[in-house]
This record gives sequence, C-alpha cells and structure tokens, in this order.
Amino acid sequence: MNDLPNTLSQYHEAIKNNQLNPILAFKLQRENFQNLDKSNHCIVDFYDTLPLTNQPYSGAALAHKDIFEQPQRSPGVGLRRGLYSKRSKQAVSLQRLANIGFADLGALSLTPNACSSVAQATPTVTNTDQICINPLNPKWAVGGSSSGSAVAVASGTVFGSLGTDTAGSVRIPAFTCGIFGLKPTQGLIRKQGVTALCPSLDTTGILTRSARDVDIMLEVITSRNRLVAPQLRTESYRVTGWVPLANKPDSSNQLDEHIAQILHKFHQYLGHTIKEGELEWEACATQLQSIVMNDEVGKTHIKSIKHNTANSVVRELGLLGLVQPVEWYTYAQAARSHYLKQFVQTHLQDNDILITPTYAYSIPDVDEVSVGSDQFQAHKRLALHRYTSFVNYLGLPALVMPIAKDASGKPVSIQLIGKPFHERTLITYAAHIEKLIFGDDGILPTYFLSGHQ
Amino acid sequence: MKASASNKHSPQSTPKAWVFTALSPANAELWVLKALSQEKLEIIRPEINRLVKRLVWASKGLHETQFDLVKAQVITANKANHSNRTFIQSLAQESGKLLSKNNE
Repeated sequence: MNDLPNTLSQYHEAIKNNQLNPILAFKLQRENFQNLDKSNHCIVDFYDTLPLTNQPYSGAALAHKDIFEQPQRSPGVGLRRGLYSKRSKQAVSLQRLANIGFADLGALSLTPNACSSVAQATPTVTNTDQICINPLNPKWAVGGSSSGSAVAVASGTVFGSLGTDTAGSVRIPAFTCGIFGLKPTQGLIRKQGVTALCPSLDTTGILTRSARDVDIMLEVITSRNRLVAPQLRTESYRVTGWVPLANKPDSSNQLDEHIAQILHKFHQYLGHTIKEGELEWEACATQLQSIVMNDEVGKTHIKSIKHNTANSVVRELGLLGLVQPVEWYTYAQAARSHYLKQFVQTHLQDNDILITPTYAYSIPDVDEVSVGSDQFQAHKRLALHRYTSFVNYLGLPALVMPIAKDASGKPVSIQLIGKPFHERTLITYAAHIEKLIFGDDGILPTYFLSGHQ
Repeated sequence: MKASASNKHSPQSTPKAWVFTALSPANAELWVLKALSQEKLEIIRPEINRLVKRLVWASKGLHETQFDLVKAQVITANKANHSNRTFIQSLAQESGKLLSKNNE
C-alpha cells in the first residue's frame, strides 16, 4: 500500500503516534483504489466522502460489496451500477465503521444477485461486463459472490471489506484470493440496509489481511456484549482438524491427496487431534441448507423468475425452490435447532475449534469453473461450497484463512468453526497461526503472487 | 410421496412420513407440474425435465441422509411454527449466552 502499514492495528498505531496524516493517507489510498478497476475490474462505484478526523481509524480505507445501501444510493446487486434513491439510508454496519474514521472508498462487484460461487461478468466503473481478476494470478478463479470484496483486500488497496455469505460467499473468495474471511454467527450483525438473498441464511461478513483486523472490524459492527470473550492462552485450546480421506473415489468428501498431506502436516505441527472419515451431521446439514436456499431464492426472486428476467443461477435455484415440496422447507427450518444442538454436542463440546478444509483441490483456473468453457469441470465448480454451505444452515461462526502454499504456489486455506458467538475464539487462534506463518505484518499482498513458493 | 398430496402448508402441520421418501420420476413430474400451475409459471419442457431430475435426485439424497433417525424428536420439539428468531435463540442457548432483545 505504498508506504502505508499493511494492517489496521499498525495503521492505528501510526495515527496515534502522529506518524501518519489521515487525510494524506486517505488520498493515497483513494488513488490506488481508483486505479484498481482498470487492472482488476472489481469496482462498481467510487465514493468521495472525506473521513472523519480525530478518530482511531481516521482515513483507513475499506470498501463493500455492492449489496449495502448508502445514503441516497441503492445497490446494484451485481446487475447494474448503483442507482439514486431518495429512500436509501446507510447500512448500519457501514455507518458504525464511518463513525470511527474509516474511509469507505466504494462499492465492489459481486455475482448477479449475490448468487454464484464464481465471479461473473458484471458492470464496473471503467469496464462494461468483465469478470473481476484475481490479483494473485489472472488465471486463477475468483470465488463468489463477494468477488470484488476479496480482490480489493488481496490487492492491498483497502485494509478490509464487507461482504455477505449465504452458502460461502465471503469464505470462498477469501480462499481463492489468499486472505481472511469471517462468516459470523447468524443474527450477530444487524442486516438493516443489506439486500437479502435468503433471509434465514444470509450474514454480513468481513474480509481482511490479518486476523486482528477481523477483530477490529467485528467489534465495531456488532455489540460487544454479544461476543463471548476468548481464552487468551492459545496453547490450551482444544482443536480438532477434519481431514476427509484422500483417494476414496466413492466419497463425496474426497480431498485431493496433496491438499490432504498439507492439512495433515499442519495439524500435526500444531498438535491438533485429527479426525478422518465422515463428519457427523454435516451431510444432512448440507442437504437442508440447499432446501432452504432453493426455497428462499425462489421466494425472493419470484417476480423475475415469472417474468423470465432472472439470471441463470437465480432461475436454476429459484425454480427448484418453487416446485420442491413445501414440507421439505418446513422440515428443514423446524429441524435447524435440533441439528445445531447435535453438531455442537458432537464436535464442539470437547473442542474449542473444529477445523475443516476450505476446498478439496488447488484453487481452480477460471476456465475450470466457468460453465461453457472447454476446460469446465463440474466437480471443481460444485466443490467450491462443499465445505461451507452446511455452516450457514447451522448458523455457526466460521473463519477462513490461508496456511500454506501448494506445489503450484497457490494458497491452501482452512476453515475454523466455533460455537455460536465464539468468533473471538476463532480470531484469537487464527492470529496465533498467522503469527507463526506470516509474522507480525499480516498477509502481505505479495506473499502469494504467482511463482513464489 | 403421493402426487395428489396437497402442497399447502399450515403452520401447525408436521411433516408426514412420506415427505422424505424418494420420488419416482413419474410422480415427481406430476408434482412439478402441479407446483408450476399453482405459481402460474410457464416453462419449457426441457426445463421441466431438468427440474424433475433434480427433484428426484434431491429426494434420494434426503432419503439417504436417514432423516428417520431424528425426525420423531424434531417433530416433538417443533410442533409450533418455526421462525428465524427461534433459531437464533437456539444459537444463544448453545453458546450459553442470552441475546439482547434487539436481535433481528
């Protein structure tokens, strides 16, 4: 970030010690941000509002998925640029961040209606209908739906961004761009001013380059008294790592052998208990998430489906939701508390954290997950939300972070899952891992650049 | 599942045993056509065929996840209509922590 610190905590220290002028810092970050769309096609609109001065994070740049309302601007939701709207008010989360000095630089691209696990071509400031580009390597896919939010953070132009997560839409792009992505407990963050896709599954999420920065932003956008305080001694954490068996062709949980080896080494190094085979309750929760998602996508977008104006993914999911037996949805909602209880008792009663893979393979190339491409591989596309969607059904907090590079230099990430409202336990432990791997400066934007091993 | 079964949902109703049994392609098609007519949705035949296939596939998946193991307990515990609020309250119970009343 051109002589600026890499993390928010470092930025805060620099502001506090008068080593940084917040207005000059703001202008520098804004210039970098405005150049980003030319190279990465991820910005829907720029904002020019000057940040508040004399605040703890005055001038620290962030941006948000174009699904959050701003004063007199309704979001384009991946379908168009934002529109003037007299009724629109600032989303509560953005308002709270602005109140302590954060500079919101703009709205970021997303897949149409926040409804796809892979970046799609959408309108941005300087380019019409282009797919946003992964700053680590242009060949690598950017996950969705919060695609622009991950690209902006991974490129180093903003410290953090906000996205939304219904089946993995924060965690998947965070993984493909080698950064942190938090999906908080369902109900922790108020959704006022955020466009809904599936009301009972959606959560606002946070993307950053450092675990501590997740903590800083989370504390601002939620009420502190809702978060359970973590133990500070990370060596006393009880952690289990789930590594589904490799080379078991009939298993839907199959992990690429190389990824499985990396995860085994990682868990052994940190002294985690390793669990292989099935993860009890996970398969049911994945099925039920799908039922809830289909139904709610159908209800949310029934007009556009009827008028045949819905995009293909919304139509695929929503039509199925409209024709599936109503009892499936009723059951899926009624059974939710039960499965939550079972899952927590089975996996989190004797553990503080359960760690799962984020993806079964190396980060896919764009062509491998683009429908219609000669290189398209359906299993790689479907695997993108394989380990994430069940967490939305259970409502639990989950944090994705990179822990290694694979043989081709691509980030390998893990997903830390905790008890409800124990986000700070996940963050504290993730900060411990981050320090071991990346040191004190968070993930530097150059760390995963192609060619570095 | 009986193709003639009502698609209407009453808040007090509970899933019947047949809800989670696998659909055959024939009765799944009837089910899809009925749902489409209720929603006044006109779609082309290949799309109907695809929906039928996906519905049958999803139904088998549900069957294989052994819902019967927990169904009875869940039905007992959730006789009342379920809402997102009650689920969020159950999250709070699992964390051993009460939520403030301004929850969503």
